[in-house]
Amino acid sequence: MNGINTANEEITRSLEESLNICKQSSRLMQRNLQTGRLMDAFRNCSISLVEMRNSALTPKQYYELYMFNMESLRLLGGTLLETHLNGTHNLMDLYELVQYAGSIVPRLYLMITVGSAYLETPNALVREIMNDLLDMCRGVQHPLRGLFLRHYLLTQTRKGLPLGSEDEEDASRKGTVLDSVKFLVINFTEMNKLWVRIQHLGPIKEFSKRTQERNELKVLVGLNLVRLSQLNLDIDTYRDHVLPAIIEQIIECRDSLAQEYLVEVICQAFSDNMHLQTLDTYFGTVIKLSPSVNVTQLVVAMLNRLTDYVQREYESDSSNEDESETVTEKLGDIKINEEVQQKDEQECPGDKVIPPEYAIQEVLWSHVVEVIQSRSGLPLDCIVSILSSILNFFLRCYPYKPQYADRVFQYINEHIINQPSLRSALHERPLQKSLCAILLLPLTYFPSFSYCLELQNFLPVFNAQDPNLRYDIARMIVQKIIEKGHSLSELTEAQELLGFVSVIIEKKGVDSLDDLQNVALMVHYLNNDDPQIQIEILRSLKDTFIKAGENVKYLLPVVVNRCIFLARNFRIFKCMDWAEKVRLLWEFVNTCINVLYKNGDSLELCLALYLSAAEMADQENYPDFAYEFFTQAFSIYEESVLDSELQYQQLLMIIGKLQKTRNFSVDDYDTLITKCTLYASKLLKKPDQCCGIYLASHLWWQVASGEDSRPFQDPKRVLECLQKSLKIADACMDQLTSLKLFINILERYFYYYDQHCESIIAKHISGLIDLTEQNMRSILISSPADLIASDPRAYASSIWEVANVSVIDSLKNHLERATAYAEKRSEDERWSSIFQ
Amino acid sequence: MAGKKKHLLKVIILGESGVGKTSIMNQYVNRKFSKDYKATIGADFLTKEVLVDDKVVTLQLWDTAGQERFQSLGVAFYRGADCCVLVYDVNNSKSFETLDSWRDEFLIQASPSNPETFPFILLGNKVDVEEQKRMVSKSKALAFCQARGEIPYFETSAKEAINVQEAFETVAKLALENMDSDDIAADFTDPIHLDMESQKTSCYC
Repeated sequence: MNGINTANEEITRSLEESLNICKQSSRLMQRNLQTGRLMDAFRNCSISLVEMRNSALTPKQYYELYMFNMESLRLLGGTLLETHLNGTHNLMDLYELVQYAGSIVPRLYLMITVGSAYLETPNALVREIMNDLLDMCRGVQHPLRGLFLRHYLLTQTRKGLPLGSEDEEDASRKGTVLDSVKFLVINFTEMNKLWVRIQHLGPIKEFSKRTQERNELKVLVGLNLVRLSQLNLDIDTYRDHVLPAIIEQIIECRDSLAQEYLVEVICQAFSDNMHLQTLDTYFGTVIKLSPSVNVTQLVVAMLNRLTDYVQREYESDSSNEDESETVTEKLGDIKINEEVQQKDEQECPGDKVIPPEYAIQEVLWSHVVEVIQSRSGLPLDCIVSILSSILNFFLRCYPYKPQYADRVFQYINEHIINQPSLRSALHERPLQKSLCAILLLPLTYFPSFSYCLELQNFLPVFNAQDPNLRYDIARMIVQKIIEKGHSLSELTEAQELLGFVSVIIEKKGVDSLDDLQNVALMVHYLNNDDPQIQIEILRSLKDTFIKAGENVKYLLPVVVNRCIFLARNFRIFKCMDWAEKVRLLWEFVNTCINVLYKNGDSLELCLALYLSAAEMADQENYPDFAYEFFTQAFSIYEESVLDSELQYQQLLMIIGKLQKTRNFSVDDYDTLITKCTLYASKLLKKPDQCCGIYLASHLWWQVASGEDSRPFQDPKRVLECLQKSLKIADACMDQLTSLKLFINILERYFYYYDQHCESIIAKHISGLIDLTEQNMRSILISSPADLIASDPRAYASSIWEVANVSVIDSLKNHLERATAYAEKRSEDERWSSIFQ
Repeated sequence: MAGKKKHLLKVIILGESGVGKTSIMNQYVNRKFSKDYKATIGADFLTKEVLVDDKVVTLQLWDTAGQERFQSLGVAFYRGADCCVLVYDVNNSKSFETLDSWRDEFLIQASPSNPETFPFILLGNKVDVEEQKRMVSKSKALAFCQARGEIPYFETSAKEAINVQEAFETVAKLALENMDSDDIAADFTDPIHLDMESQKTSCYC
């Protein structure tokens, strides 16, 4: 009688104090168990369990205390089971015995401990004990204590719950899986009620504190659903018995915290196969939840889960197929292998994983729309978040069927973009970011950009964004195409792509140079094997690029270059009237380069492009266009008169290209090279003149490069060029420069002599060698004072004696190498005559 | 009758969400694998009796939630652990990079008597996935183990039952050694409360 009174006292101790009491009692209990003193063990265990009535603990503190006591109880339960099995103590007797504990909390913990151990014994009256434990636990209605007590019940009965079917013998004693379902559902219902009750206890001012505490306790309730998912139920049982019972409790409790958490646990704890067959129920439930529940998270969680499921199953199936393909290859049946690969390329993961009778695309989409429309209070960012998830599902599970993804964009167009009431919201930054992310999803997951262009509603959503946002999206589009190597081959595709990208092209200033560079790079991914279509693509590109204003110089060159190479493709492709179409192509090239020319600041670029075009036009035997391009190049050359160094470089480029041409008429070629040589002779600086002319000499001596080529060769002109360059070299005031030029010209003589250019004879060469060596000797023996006397500018160079000596040495070596070359060939009578 | 002391060894299994902690445990205890994915809600444990060095040992294996929001009551159950199993997915770099966080969190919460020598074991799971998807090399994992006190490393597949039994044999040995050490320490600090024993309370007979 004293014990009963003591046990009913309220306990308010610190966690440390309670734990200390529990530790002492637990240690004593363990000793009692070792020495077989069961009654003492029960008594000490009860002392520990009385601390579970401590009212001063927070949920987390209570959890610590609970965890400690669980360890003790498990030791007790294990020992009791062992003693039962070896015949020392009967668990049913002990089950009766512990019911005499003086306080309900210890009493129930002990009953659960003994009862659950009994469940694991053969021939146990499982059904009876299960029902008894459930009923007894109703005795604790204090929310915190009751939740943990029932959590203990869940934990301890895990092994003992029956899994059999009604058909088995002893079903009435052992129970069936449906008894387990009932057990868990009832426990779940009771726990949820305890959990919800916490919200309504205590003063209003502590509402948020209670909410926080309830958040901490939620995993206790969720464990019921986890246990249900661990029963390995068949679909019918889940759909017809489990899910409806759970959902009934969820909806009827009308508590938003509980509803939100428990629906998510349903999503996370049960398998995807079960979800696929109960989507109507799941989404129907979401719609019925309390207004303050965040349903967005619940919809997104299910959509993401199904997306991951399809990806996982598809990869798993694919790796299995890879093995079978290996077997196929061993059989040497390549044809079947190719067919399989062809099929795989077009097969959507969703089609492979989810049977078509589910009509998963329609089901999910209709549910998403229904949730959005039924929950009329949904904020705009939540709607966009849901749409993003369903779009992600369509893109990743059905990447070859853009019609599903397009529904999402259509919805965005109709219900967001074109809603007058949402006009102001569209300019808010967070929503813009969300829409931007949505617009980027197709770029990320479609196998190629072509599929993006099949989204008819994509462009309107894109165009509705602010310019800055459109710019960012356009930039991402270009980057994705380059990264993934997406190739577009149709004219309409290219035109639509340009529609997206124009926001980059039309931006003024220098901020977007990196992005313009990517746009130029992207041009290489707009490819069609038919040059007729390709030229139309390039025309579209040019029409768009013109809008770049000054920045056109960063974009149009790539179009020009691609046109130049396209000319060859026409010849290979040989479509109808291909030669005439190439002529149109060359006119287009000329137009493009003219655009660059008129934009100024890019004359050098234009010159280079004209020369490239001229080169290809000549190779492909369009001499009239090649002539025109060279003429244009000369015009640009003439405009560079203010920069003599640039002019010199440009002229060398022209000489190089012109010398390689093969299809000009003799008259046209002669006209061009004469003009070129004249330009060389008019360069501002004498050394440049000299170099220009002797390099231009090669224009008069083309070299045969194939069977059908007719190289142009005019020995007389070659000699004239060389002799004129000699005169200029001799006229240079700087002796070192003059000597250097002499040596270079000598090498040219050797070259033409080797080529059997008739106008170059041994006498010329031997005379030049003598003259050059004479100049070398005169420099070597002259003193700085003499240099000053003969060349007023030489005074400065004499100061740099070391450099001067170095230059002289290098020239001396150069001359010796040149003459040594000729001497080495003296076995040839022609060459030996040079030195006679 | 005086019974022989039975060893209950507590093992905590930690790792990023989705690496296969629950599947590994199910493979070890029940020798089953389910390809269905179910997130672990809260902490849950299974027990398995094993023979280690001629001793009968009960392993209490605690499966944990890899996502924080499913571990809302905290980790009080870490306390008293005898061994900790760290799991990552060899095809998921992030799950490897977060191992130190899991390890540090465990040492803080569990407060073992000797953190320097507390036994850990590392499992690299999902090695059944094709090689080109592998993101964390074996040498990298071994380096991680060596840098943290030469902890054992196993490459496992819960799906194909690769190395799972072997890994937990090692776990059992490590846990048993650790428990023996704790017992020795505990014996010296066990206070005798004469007052408690002298109290007479009602008997339940």
